[in-house]
Amino acid sequence: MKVIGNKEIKGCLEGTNVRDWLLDGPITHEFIYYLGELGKLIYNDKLPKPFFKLIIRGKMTVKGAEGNQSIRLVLPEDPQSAALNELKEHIENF
Amino acid sequence: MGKTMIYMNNAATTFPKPQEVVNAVNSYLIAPPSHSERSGIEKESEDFIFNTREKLAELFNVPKAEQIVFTSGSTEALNIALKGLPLEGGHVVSTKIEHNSVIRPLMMMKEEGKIGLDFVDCDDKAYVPPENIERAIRPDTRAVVVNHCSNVTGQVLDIKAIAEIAHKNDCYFIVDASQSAGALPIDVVDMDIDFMAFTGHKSLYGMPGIGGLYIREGMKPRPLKVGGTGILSEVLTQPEGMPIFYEAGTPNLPGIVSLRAGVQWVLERGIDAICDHKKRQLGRIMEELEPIEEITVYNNMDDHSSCTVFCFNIKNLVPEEVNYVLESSYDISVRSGLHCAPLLLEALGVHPWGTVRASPSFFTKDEEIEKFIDAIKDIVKTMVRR
Repeated sequence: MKVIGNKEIKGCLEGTNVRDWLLDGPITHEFIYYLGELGKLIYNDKLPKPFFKLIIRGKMTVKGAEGNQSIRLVLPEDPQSAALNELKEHIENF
Repeated sequence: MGKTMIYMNNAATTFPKPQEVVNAVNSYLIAPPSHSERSGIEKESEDFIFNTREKLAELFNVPKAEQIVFTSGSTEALNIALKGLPLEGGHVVSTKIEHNSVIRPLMMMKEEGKIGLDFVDCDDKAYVPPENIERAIRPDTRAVVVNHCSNVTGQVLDIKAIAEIAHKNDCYFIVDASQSAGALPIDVVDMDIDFMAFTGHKSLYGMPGIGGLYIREGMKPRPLKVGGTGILSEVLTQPEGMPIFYEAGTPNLPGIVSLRAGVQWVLERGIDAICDHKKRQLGRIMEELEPIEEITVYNNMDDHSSCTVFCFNIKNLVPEEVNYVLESSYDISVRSGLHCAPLLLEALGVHPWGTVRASPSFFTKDEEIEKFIDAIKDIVKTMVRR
């Protein structure tokens, strides 16, 4: 999987630093569990498109829904570029 | 937006637009440009601009169509009134239910030392009793500025009663009708309004970027901008006739075309029929979701309600997360956050996270309402930590 787009989400009050990453393919069940290796995964498969939230402690929260092609990153005000690179690398190794 | 998306963010911008609006804009865009009185063919353009004012005058019971000035939207309209009137050295009374389009120009004027300013309190549904306004008026108060209908909870203020208070105290009375224009009956004569700002892209079903300001006959704020008007080119100063005094620059003709078709559509359907449709759908949402313990509802359906929005929060869930789940898992578009009304959200005790707001339109189908209700019930059942 590759990250092919990045958009800052303004006006989102969940955090001061929120962005969406566009992926080159749809999010699958397997991909969600693969992402889960990076932190604490909350997976809700009771919704029409199963929803997940991944808490990477002290670094960021990642969320999204199965079948969609983007994930949302809620980052600290001053995000560590190493954490973002680590996530990107992890995604690209899927 | 995908074809399957359920759009419930009509309090921000209505979608879809009536087919008549789409057709009118399309026809305008494929015809030769005509935007002034410089040649015969352009007479048609003048007619549709004036005709749009006439339709708006009919909708709002404005005595003379030229008392309606086109602007880019409510923000510009409000800026004309607030910055153009002789308020300097005086005091202004406004309310905590205002949108930033009122709050920010007033705050700028206050911070520049030009005015004294008070935002009066509302109740827990965003209703502002007129007596609260009366209590805030001082001998030096020069203007009362109020929101007709809250964009957060849909509460409607008693405009006639507030107008009486304002005029009894020799104040200008300025109304922000962004949420109510096209959604609720408005009669500027009966309501005794001096200035009324409205926007075209909400319940008037026009495009974003067009709106207007009603100016009571005889009142003359200073214009925000001056310049080319396409007529009276030999005159070196801004022509002072109405409405051209306030309309320097190239008019937003596609916007005006869309507004004409949108207002015509509203006039043909009738405000009452549009209100009844939304009221029935909001009633259905309230019936199903209000009794749920985990849901806090900030609107109501009492006599002061426009019945245009369902404003709520779900226990232990950040509004933005509810919004994101609705959009990503259910393809339902709503709005979350402070809704550009920070003083109200603070008064409601939900600052800084805000609320979730779902707002149907005349085009929202009953089955879409049922899907929204089911989605919220699902979220409560599966995501709320107990």
